[in-house]
Amino acid sequence: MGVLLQQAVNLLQLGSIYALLAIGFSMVYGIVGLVNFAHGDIFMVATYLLFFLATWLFSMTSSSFAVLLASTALAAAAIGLLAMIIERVAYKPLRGAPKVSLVVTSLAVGLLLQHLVLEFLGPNSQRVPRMVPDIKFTVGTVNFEFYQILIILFALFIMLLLNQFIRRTRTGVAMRAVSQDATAASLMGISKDFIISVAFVIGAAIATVGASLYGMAYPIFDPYIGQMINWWSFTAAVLGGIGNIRGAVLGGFLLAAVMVISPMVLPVSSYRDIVAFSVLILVLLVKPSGLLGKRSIQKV
Amino acid sequence: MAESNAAPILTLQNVCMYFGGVRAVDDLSLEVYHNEIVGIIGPNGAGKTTVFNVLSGVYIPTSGDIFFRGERLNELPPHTIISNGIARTFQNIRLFAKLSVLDNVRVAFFGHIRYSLVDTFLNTRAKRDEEAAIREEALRLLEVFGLADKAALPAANLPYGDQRRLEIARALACKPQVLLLDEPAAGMNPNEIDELNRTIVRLRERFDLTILLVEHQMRLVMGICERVLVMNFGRKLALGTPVEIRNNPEVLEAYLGKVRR
Amino acid sequence: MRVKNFATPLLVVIGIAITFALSYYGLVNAYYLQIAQYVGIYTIMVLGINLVNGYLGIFSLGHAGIMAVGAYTSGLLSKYVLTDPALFPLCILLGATAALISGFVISIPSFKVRGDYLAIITLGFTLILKSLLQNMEFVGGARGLRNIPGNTNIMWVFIWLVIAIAAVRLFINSKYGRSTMAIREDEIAAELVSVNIKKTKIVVFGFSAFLIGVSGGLLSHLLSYTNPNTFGYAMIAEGLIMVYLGGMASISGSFLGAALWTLLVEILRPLGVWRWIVGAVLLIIIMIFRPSGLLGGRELNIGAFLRQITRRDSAKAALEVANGGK
Repeated sequence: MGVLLQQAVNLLQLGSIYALLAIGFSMVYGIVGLVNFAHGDIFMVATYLLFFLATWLFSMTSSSFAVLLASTALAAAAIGLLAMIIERVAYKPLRGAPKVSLVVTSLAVGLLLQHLVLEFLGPNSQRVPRMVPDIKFTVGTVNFEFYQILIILFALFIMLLLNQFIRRTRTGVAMRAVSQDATAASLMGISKDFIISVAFVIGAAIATVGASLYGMAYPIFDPYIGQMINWWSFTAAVLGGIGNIRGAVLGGFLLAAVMVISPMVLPVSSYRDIVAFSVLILVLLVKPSGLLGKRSIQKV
Repeated sequence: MAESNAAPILTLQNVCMYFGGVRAVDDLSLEVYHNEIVGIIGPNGAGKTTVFNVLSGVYIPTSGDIFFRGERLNELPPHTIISNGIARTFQNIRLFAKLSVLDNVRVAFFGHIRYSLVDTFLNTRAKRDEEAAIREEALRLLEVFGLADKAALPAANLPYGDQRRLEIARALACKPQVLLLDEPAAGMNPNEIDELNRTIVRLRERFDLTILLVEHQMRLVMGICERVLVMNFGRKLALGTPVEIRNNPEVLEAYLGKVRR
Repeated sequence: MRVKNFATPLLVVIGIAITFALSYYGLVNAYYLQIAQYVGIYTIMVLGINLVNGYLGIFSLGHAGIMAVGAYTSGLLSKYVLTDPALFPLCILLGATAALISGFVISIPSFKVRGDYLAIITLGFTLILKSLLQNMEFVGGARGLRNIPGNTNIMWVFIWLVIAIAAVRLFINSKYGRSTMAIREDEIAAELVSVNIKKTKIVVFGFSAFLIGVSGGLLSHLLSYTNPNTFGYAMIAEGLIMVYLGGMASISGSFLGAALWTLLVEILRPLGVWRWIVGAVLLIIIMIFRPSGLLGGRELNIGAFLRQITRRDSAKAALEVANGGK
């Protein structure tokens, strides 16, 4: 029982992070229809930025909590701006081009980011400074740490904030309109370019928050983490039904469940990835548009 | 001739096609005889195109049976049905936009081509001969529609009328006995419709076809159809000769009456 | 026509003779030979990827996994079973056959799952395979398979390349090639003009996987080793880049993409990591100005092109160029 509760905490922690990553992926897909293979590398750049900001801020203050909030907020803003620039320069000229050329471009953007970091910062792995007090809790037989609680609560807060933004604000409503029918939305006077920029910015900012939380749990990083992050956010987004934000959250927690449960059942923990992808393939074979995805109907 | 007319070539028996609660086709029965031209008319959403989709295997009917030359078609996949001898065109033109006009027609020989994958890779005599024959045949079909000189163009570059004609040429390449034409006159002016009238009648003679056609253009339906089926809300409202249909009070009320308002 | 029928086999024989001489008498700098072999091997791979991603129009990311099947199967065979170098072509053939079977497996989800969802299934296949290879000790685990006989040389690359190009040409100009492209344009319309969709997809995925498997086998016998990481993100990305750079649904485009990218990576090698940056920027620029790749949907047809330049019968020549000289 204790083990199960322990794993439940791990699941929530991991699921929160996957969900945040999948949201950004899904949001861009919902608006532009682009499988953004640069998403993981945006995450990687965000991690580096957080690392430098935190190191710099610690030289000014010793309040680790202030450093955490300030570095996350600053990084989110900067990475959001970076995503917007990338969108303007690389993706915008491709409006109306075949979808695959967008995808290939995003691959190229990912490669570019990764190798820029490799060139300037080197291939060695680094460690994110600890920004959360090292407090352990014990409830019965279950041990968990303060940062785990923080991750779950912080992620939940971001998701609720996003939910409010999408449901209540003008821009949020406009985003939903564009994702349902871009042509009709533009006839209603919604600027598609603006909405696309917003989607990229929010997606990247949320990924940055994800990177900040990820760093608490797994502080070691290098320029290659983007690839792995990319596959996992892609997987989570598709599991839930790509383009659907609630689906992304669901997919994130489902993927976390697979990742947490399969090592408990299987003898070798390295088969975890195999199980995760097998689950994904099985889900898609049964529900070809993901769990919450719209079934596209082909008209004859 | 009398014998072949005795058994219908195509039979629909109490065919129903439901989508959730929507009864797109509801208890429809129809017998179509060899060499007939039968028109299907009705208001928008009456289920006309759904009938074609059921006949060509796009949908499996919820209930009821379809027989083609005495053989039950219900669960066969579309490509088998087409190869067996039912071909169709589409209401919204669905050509292979980037393929050449010639290739659009040649694709449709797929079900009848005999050479194998091994022949393909070894480029055997059998393959080359059959390919040459298909090319000839495709060009002849294009000639019938006055498209032979445009054979090398991508289908997307054809003007609208030519695209409609190419759709029919492509359907004929499937070597059908029954041809389903879905609004072939859509977007055409009266002169073009008259020409299409003549073309359809000529095709029937030349290729020994039985033709079903869904149409809104009364000029076409009343001009060439031997019988007309009127549908409303998925059901059969009336079936008869154009003259009978024209004078049927129910039809006038449900359909023609609205048009003339 | 008669001249052409006679010229092609002659050129092939001369090519084999030259590459034979190059392979066994070391006439040319080994470095250049190495690059030429890469170009040849990648062209075979890109032809394979192009069959599914270009001609069939299905966005697949399975090629890295399929390549691994070809590389490992042929590598294991020539290392442990068919050790005689004379049996090298058989090893490649068997490796490609194993890849072909994996291609059949990947084709099954494509009956039902579409678009980006299918892309992720093929990606899952690649990553599952990579993970399996990392965990199987008898194929070397994460360290990879070492000491594979280095049987690949420019002659074998040339011979397989000729076979691959000829096979793709024959395939594309057959009923299967037409049904493949018809599915890309409109799957439902294709089915409704008698195309057997499932059969076509199985055949295309299988044929594609066979070619990718050949390239995997040649690559592992060129490098004399292979490891799971070779077939990960980088191979997926580079494969796609070469396809979309050279042009979708184009045989000459496949060669162009493989050659350009390989040369670019080599020429920019002194720049170190910068070569990836320059390469990525170049790709983005090409995608912006030529979204279907340099030769998207066309073939380089020198004869028709020359006629167009000399304005002899220019309208007809222009038409021929536009239609890839068909």
